[in-house]
Amino acid sequence: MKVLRSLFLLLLVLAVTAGMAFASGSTESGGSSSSGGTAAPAKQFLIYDYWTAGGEKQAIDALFKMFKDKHPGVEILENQVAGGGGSNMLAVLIGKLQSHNPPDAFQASMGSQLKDYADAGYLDPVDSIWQSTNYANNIDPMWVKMMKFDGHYWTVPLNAHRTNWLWYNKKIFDQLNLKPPTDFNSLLADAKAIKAEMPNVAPISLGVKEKVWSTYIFDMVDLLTGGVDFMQKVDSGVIDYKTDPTFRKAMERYAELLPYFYPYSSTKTWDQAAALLKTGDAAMYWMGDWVLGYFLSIGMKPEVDFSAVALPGNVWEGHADSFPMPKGAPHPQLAKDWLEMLTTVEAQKTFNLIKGSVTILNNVPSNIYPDPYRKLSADTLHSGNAQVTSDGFHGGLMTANFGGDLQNILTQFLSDGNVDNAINQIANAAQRDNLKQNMSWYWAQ
Amino acid sequence: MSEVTERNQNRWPFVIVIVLAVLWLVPVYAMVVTSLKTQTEVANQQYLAPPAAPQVANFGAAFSPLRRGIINSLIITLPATFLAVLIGSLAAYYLIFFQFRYATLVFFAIVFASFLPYQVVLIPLTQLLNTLRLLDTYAGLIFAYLIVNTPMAALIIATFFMKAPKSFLEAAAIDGCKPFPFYRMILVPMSIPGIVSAAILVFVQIYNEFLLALALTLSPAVQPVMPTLASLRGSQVAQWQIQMAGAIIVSVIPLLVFIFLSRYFISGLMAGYSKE
Amino acid sequence: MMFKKSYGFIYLTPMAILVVVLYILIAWNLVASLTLWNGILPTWHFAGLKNYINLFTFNRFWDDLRHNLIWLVVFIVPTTFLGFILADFFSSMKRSEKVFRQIFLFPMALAPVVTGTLWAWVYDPGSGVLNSVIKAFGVNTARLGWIADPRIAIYCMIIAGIWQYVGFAVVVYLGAIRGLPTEMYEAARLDGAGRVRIMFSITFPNVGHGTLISTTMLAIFTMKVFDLVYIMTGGGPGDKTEVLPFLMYQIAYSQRDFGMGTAISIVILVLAAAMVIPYSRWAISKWVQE
Repeated sequence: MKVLRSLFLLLLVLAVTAGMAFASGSTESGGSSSSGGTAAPAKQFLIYDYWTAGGEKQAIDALFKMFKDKHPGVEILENQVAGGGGSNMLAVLIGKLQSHNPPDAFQASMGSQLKDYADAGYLDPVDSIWQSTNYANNIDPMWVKMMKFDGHYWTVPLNAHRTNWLWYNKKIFDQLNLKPPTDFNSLLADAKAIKAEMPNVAPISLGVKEKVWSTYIFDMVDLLTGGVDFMQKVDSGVIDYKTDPTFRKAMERYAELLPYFYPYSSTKTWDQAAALLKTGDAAMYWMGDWVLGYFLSIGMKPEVDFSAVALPGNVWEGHADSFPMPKGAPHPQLAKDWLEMLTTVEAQKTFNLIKGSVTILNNVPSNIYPDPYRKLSADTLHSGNAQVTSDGFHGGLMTANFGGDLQNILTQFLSDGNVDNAINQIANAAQRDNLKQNMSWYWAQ
Repeated sequence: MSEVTERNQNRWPFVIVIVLAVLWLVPVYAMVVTSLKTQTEVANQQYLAPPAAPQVANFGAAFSPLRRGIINSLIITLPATFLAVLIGSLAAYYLIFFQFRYATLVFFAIVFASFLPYQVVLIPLTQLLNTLRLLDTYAGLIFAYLIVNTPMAALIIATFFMKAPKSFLEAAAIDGCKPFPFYRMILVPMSIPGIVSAAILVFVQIYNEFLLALALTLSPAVQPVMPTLASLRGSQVAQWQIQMAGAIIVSVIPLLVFIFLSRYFISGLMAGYSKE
Repeated sequence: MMFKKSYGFIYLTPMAILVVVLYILIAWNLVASLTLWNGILPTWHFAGLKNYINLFTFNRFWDDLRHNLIWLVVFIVPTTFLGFILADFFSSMKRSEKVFRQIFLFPMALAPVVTGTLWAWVYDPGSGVLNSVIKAFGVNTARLGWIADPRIAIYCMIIAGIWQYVGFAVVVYLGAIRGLPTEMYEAARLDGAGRVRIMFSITFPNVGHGTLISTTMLAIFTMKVFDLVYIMTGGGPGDKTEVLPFLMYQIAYSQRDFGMGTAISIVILVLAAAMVIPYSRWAISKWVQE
């Protein structure tokens, strides 16, 4: 009995102590519990971003340093997001926006997600910044299209990631005397050759533990089958899925690829799937250029262990990270300064070099990039000659709702290869999610 | 039936139990063994073989990202448990020992609430905490856990209160004992096993909880250990040894509770179910 | 009742507040499920039953419901059955029983996140425990996908669940069996009945009480399965292991369709209520007896 009583008292004491601990400070990095209100300390800058680890963190930290050099005495309060894709941060961020307690800056991307924020009235237009820096004339028109709604600009893009890269294990290709693919048929042929000669190697790596990557393959077959315009129409619900012959052809091609994907794709995340190229368990990988940093970090050597080809070469598909201007930001001048800084050559060079992407600005020479892939990406994007398009999911060419449904349908499709079923479900999802209507802003410009 | 046959009758169940027990332990054995291996040993995939030399450093590597999470979990779980048990026991006290017309109704509401899958209120809960500016705070998470766990605490404690010997209670009443002293000096001390049972069960439930911890926090400063563990996947060629070490570290506290206080754990689980 | 003073109501107040908040949240869910709220816009558009209609014509919903039902049957029956058998064996083992009971019961103290992590590793087709052991016997594991195999993934997950919860059934049944009078057995033994026969003809029918508790609690648990799905498969492959609570989380938080998300919550609520209400009534009847 005595033991139990002291146990109870111990628990009581611990609880009270812990209670006092929490009462004295809810969060370490400040932010949510301290009121944003009107009397925020003048020397703070509140920012939300997803770059919590590795090269990404270094990149944003470099920008913070730049910012602090320009604004000595300002304390940057960064609420980093731990883990998973942002759906948690989104909930809190939206809560802050809804309760008129926004941060000074937060990481967004472009397209439909950005438009949701703008429509909800959480953002202030950034026209003045675009005009004073002549931003629109120095970047590809695609960015403008994804960031300008109702005649106003709503965000400032910082970095450009290219999605349409096909990475491949160079050693396997050399060994089998294969040429990197240039279109769908050569991709399929390479895959078949690899499967025939090396049955234990998965010709195309894939990791859909996070299901979104299944939409990347979806965009790829659409791009290779019907071109840029077609892909955009598919993503934004303009075509009639059930009757369009090109769409059916694209889905049949997707089905043709199925036997050549890594069979256990549902257990691998995108980086685990990338690692398969190192171990020789897979030969090719369709992924954006953020995987380059990952390859380097696990010790792979460019042009020795791996190489890459842009597929198709004259198309630049990708997305950008950007920062909008929250309405009612607690430190509006600092927020504005931050955005202006992002448009400068210096900031873009600093950030992109570390992050593994390329600058949005066209006038930055491509020889600043140490690797051939980004050089190519920058050259293609900035040349003005290529067809530049946003990618579907991350680029905001579809609504988040439809994207979620699509990725579920596609991961299902990965197991059963039933083209009719997939097409029907996609059509139903588009209708249920009001896709065409919600994306009509894109075609109205 | 002869003696020999009877002994045989008792033997084969024993054998089955041993086989099953071994099967039950194999995953855990593999987990422990792997957590002590080097990366190369793990890559060999001889999962049932012990390590050449135990790599205790793995636990160090796993611990540092989890450290904040464990602290956060404790900061949240301990007060929440204490409050849940306190509030629950007071409520149980009232419902059982006081004359109250709606007691049955309230009791029913509590029972129903304690068996509900709590995910049902996840969305409105996030909205509520948002409005109260309590998202991503310790207080917010404690509040959420209270809503979800106090009914069960009340239920368990009520069961134990009901078992208090009536004669003793009646004697106290005749002596003119007032309600609060009665609660504090007589009922609670007599029901310590029940209260501890409830506390332990609630503690383990909250500590092990994942969804609310995931949805209601975002910054590593406040996030409890379960979501942190979940996001700790070795991005490189699968670092199973670190993951397993992490899983073990995180399980130490509830396992200790279970091992030393299993009597209370079990009776808490069983509260309200036995016939007596 | 001992005390008549009603000022004591203050004891109940904190609990009452919490419970009231809970029920208000449930009601809020109901209202929200009748709107088209997308979680970002601060306004709601009333939409009547549109979310429900969409939901009931959404075959992913039916798939997930089916998975919940699979859980209900495939998880509860073996767990209860195994729990009963083990409890029966334990009841005749005097000393070692406690040790064995701990072995089967301790997984309940583990977090589902931990169990999920552990079993995801066991089932990993590339480098997991199961396939490694099988490979060591010289068997080719190329076709053994386990949780990557769309046909058996959910069953693999259920096995992890059984591993975790069989101890509960054991404890419930142990209590029930211990309460049985020994005269029943004496009679049967004198008649020469074998152990198995006794177990199923005599013991089992008389622990209906234990069966009721065990199955009800396990059923309630299956409605909550979220952590395991999230950690082990993320609902995959495809949506073959997805269950309703997971669907709710995805639709609300990833796809930002809170109207539909709350509708799913209500459906879960109704299903759970169907299981909980009979149990609550039984609990009340016991309480009222006191």
